[in-house]
Amino acid sequence: MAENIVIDEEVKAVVMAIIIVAGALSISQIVTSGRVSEPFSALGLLGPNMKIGDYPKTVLVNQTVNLYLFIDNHEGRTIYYIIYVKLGDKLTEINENKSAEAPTLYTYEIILTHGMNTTIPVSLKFSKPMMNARLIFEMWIYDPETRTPRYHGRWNQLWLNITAPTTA
Amino acid sequence: MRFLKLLSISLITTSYTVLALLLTILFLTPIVRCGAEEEHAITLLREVYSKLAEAEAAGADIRNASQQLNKALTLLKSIDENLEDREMLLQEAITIINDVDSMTPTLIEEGQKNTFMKNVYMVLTVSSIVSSIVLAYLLTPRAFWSLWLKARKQWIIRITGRSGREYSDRRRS
Repeated sequence: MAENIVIDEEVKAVVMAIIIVAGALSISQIVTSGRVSEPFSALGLLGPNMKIGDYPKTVLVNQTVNLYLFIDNHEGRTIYYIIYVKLGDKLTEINENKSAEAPTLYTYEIILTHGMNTTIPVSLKFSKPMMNARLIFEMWIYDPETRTPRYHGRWNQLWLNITAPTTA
Repeated sequence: MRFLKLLSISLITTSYTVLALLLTILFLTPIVRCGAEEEHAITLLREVYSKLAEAEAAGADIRNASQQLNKALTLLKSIDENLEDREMLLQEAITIINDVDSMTPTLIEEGQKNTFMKNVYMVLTVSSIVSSIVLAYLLTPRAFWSLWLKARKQWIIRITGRSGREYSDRRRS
């Protein structure tokens, strides 16, 4: 009985369209599953209360400045991050392609797998007074292919006035 | 005579200089060696990380291994703050790094197996989806209409209209 049924061409076309769309969606989901379409890393500088804000503006020479660094890995692979803390000034050039040519004060290193993030406490001290000091945090990654650290184009800065302690 | 005196003075000066140099080297060597050992450990750690990255690219799950490496990194970085425990921290870090290094070939092998199985699974899934598409295209309309007919097989058709006798159920005739 079923063999004698005459199926309308329009019905066939609609069924075909639904099936093709559903099939294409399913296949694309399977093929792209587990892939990161837009890989990125994030670097954040948090204040002494582990929040965005309350950043120190003036510090004394040899005074400990407590900050926090937030690092987030969404690169789709495990990354060896190296954070250089540099002390520059208003003339120091830095952008996403060029790292700052300034003395490195501290270095922090951490390995994060994809999807992981961490908040590192950072304690800094400055040995010399300086006005309009630019504390620069640069994100570098250790490149396993070239076996060298490579600037990753992410950076943060904090403007500070480092003053000498007043003697009574 | 004067020449001999000058010679002896210069010899004494030279020997003192050499002694001073030797002592300086002797005192500086442990400091340089300490720094060099830490540098060596960091280099080793980075080498192992590179191997882990290769394993990950091959499909291995390196979460545990990278956590271990992170632990070693933390130990190495804590040496500056705990100089009295330097040797212990350094040894512990190097042990962890070596452990992770020895794990790497197994991880790569597991990764290759995982990738193979993943590819097999993907091919099977894609081919089953394609087969379902073909089967659905061939069978769905027939199945739908046969069900439709089954659901209505008890129905009695009454022909209505102005000249009802002219209409008939062609399928049953």
